[in-house]
Amino acid sequence: MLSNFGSILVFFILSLSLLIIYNAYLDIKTNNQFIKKSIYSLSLFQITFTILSFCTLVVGFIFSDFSIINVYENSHTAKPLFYKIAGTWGNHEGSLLLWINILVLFSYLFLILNHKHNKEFRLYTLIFQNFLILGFVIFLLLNSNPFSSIYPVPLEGLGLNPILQDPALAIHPPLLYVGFVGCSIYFSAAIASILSSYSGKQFALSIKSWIQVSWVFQTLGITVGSIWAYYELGWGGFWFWDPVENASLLPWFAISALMHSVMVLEKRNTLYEWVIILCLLTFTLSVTGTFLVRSGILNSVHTFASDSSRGVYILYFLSLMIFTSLITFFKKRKKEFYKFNANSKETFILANNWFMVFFLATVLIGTLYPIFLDVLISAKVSIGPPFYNIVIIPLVIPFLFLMTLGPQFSWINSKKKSLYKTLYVLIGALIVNLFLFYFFGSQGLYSNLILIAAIFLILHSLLDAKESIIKKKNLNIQE
Amino acid sequence: MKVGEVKKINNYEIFFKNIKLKKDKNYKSIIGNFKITNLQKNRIHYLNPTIRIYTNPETLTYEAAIKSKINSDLYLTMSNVSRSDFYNIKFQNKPFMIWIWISAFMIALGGSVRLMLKKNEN
Repeated sequence: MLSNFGSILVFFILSLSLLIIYNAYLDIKTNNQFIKKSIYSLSLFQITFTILSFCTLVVGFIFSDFSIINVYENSHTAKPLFYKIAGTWGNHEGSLLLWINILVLFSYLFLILNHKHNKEFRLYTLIFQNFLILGFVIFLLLNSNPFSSIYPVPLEGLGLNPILQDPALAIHPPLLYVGFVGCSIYFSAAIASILSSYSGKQFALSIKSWIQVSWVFQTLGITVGSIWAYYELGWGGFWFWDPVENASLLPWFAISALMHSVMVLEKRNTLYEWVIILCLLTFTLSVTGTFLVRSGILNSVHTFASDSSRGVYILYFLSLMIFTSLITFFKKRKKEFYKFNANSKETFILANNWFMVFFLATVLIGTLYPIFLDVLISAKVSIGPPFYNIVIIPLVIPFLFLMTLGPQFSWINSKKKSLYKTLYVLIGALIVNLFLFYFFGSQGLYSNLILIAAIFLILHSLLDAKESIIKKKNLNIQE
Repeated sequence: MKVGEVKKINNYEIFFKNIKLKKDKNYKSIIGNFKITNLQKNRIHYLNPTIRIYTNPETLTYEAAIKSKINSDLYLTMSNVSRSDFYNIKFQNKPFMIWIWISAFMIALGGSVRLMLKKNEN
């Protein structure tokens, strides 16, 4: 019963996607200033059906309807209710349905929340977002349908992997998914902005809050995951530079860089191309991470019964995504000239971006190198903490220093107003470090330098926060 | 370690007091009761690491017992050695663990504060 109902809903989502793409495409051609009503209602139907399909699966899990294979394989009647519900996204098929839910949700919210923006830009975003939805729904139907039925109906399920039965792990996937799949909306928006030749500043304004939302969720998701690893896996660590952890860290670096450079685009209307590249990169890396984990290339707790055909599909889809986006980008790109003053905020943001991209490249190489080596000469190597410590730690020091200095500068060109304050703070940091050195002894040059840089950053941020709160108070009094 | 044994590691004395059996909804658990004494500061902590035995699928999971303090975490895991009364104990004193979580949550909080401020300005 439920399985048929669910499958029908998924078919509805599929056909609604196609309808939306078709209608939006027709609507772009008309000279109408506003988006047609029918597109809004189609999107509303789409989001309703999507949420309904997810609820159907949740109901299947709650009532342990073992006629659905997915429930049979991942649930058990004796499981507490909370983990029955969490079990919905504790497996490949269910989590893919969650993935589609978030794609559709973001697509709908982006459509209705951006009234002020250009119609063409919004419609192109909708079209590309629906292509992504289409891709994943087809994937779901082809080889990972959560609603596949089983006959004869088994009496008891196989149960959920006990290490996943944990509160932190119950909220970890939804958090991370909002973070990673949320990137899809500015992936679509980036392509849309190129196609509709939208102004950089407006584009930045339209995607800024979406970037922040997904950034917050990614950060929380990764944190909850490491807390879980700390108390559940029993080896006492929280970050192992395990390929799967790296896969989640890669988009995080890209999105952190993006979050900063989008400010430059908003305030100074420059770096447009770089922002576009980062938008494309962030979602591409999210999908790459999914591909690496789900295809079974990497082995970990995240690899639910791996299946190579899944990997192949995601790989095709990923290549299609990358090629389409890059071809559109290079065809339509306009030459930009950059002229920054060395003492401006944008230079520092750019420096932050270099470091982020460097970290990203390091982790990417560290993750993919063993795989390539295995394929090419079938040698097994594992790249662990020593590699990352050697490569990343020396660069963290200048990174932290620049991070402290950056906010002190103003846009375009700044005067040497408050650099004395910064100098005092630096001296303060040196003194604190001296105390630490005196009481706890030396742990090597690097650790001292990092301590200085970190204390410098912390003190300065606290000082800045205090000043801005005082400023706000004064403003309120004046009003 | 066996039940009733006492071990000394650096500044800590670990006393394996007893084990208890408990039945939960879909697993049974073996709860170890440990008394940890910090010999330098003369402080006593009680830690209860757990082994859970799930029946479907049949798996053992090891829950670490963690006592979080401002400057360090006491971390204790217990696993059984098959066909004996002995248990493997891993005890670690990990400095400043809680600050890693606090800082990560602060980073996320910073992002959300930024988001809220922008909303109010509009």
